[in-house]
Amino acid sequence: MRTNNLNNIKPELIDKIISAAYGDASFIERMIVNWKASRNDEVRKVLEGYKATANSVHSIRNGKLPEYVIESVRRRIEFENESENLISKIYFALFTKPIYTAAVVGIFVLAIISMFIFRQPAAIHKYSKAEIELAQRQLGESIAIVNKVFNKAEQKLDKEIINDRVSKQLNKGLNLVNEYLIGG
Amino acid sequence: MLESSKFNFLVDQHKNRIYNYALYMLRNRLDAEDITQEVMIRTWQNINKFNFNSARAWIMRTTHNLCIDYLRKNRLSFQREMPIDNEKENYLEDKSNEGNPALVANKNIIDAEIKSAIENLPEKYKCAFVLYELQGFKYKEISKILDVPLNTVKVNLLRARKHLQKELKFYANEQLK
Repeated sequence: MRTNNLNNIKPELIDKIISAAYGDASFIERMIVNWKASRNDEVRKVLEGYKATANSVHSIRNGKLPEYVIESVRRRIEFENESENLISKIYFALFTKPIYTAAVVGIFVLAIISMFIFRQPAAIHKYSKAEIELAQRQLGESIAIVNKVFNKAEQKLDKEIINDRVSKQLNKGLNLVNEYLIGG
Repeated sequence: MLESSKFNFLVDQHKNRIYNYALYMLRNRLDAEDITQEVMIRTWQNINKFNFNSARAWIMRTTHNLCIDYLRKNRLSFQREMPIDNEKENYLEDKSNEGNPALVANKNIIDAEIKSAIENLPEKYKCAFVLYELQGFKYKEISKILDVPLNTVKVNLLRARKHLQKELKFYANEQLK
């Protein structure tokens, strides 16, 4: 089994000790590490060493960005802070925090639901018997007109176009071919 | 109008985070300020391309990429020599040990040593360490920001902690006494 040369502690345990010291180990891992630390002086020393470093690291204060950097950025992008209008302020007041966004969405949903619940049914127009009869008669007349037009077109096609313009010309052509073939 | 409000909000939220990350990466105030300005300008230029949820990761990813580019460009050329010097400010700002100058001085010395040890970490360990321990990002976010697998983040963080422990052994022992 591999062990750490300095402390005679297994590398896996060292990893757990480090996680426990920095506060991101699971509850069970922390229990195990603490239990081992209470029974083994070397484990306890390593744990305390890492805890001290972790505390120091976590207590470091972050530096603040000098304000002139922001001003310089604003100048470079020709940003006009004063031009913010009321609508944008309301928009950001409503949408920058999830709770506000949820409230706005809730209001919208409520409005839509209530619109469906309380809406008035649209008035349906009822036709009288006389109106229906009139419509039927008008429909019949329209169909009769269309029928008449079609019949006329059919007769014209049969008698004038096919007979005079197509059949006669075709016969003429065939006769010409016949004569040519017999003559040749 | 909306863009400017959104930009203002993002700048207020992230300005110190960008600055501190750049400061640890570049170890130089002026360079960190330049990077912060550049990130903000890019944020403005891309203000309509991301929403609030993804802005944090986008901004930090841009910061990280700019820092890496900057380090690559300046690795061989002249580097501005001006170490991080937060301690004077911290000394003035620190109110927790107001009655005890010795404690304040001691704390400042330890802070400076820790910062120096973090700055001297290898680059890939430092990125993960600063983002996790000092900026409070989660593994998943760091994985997105650095564009590396989740396990790599965990391994680099663990190695950074071990590395730091070696560097700060003396101060850790001092604190335990």
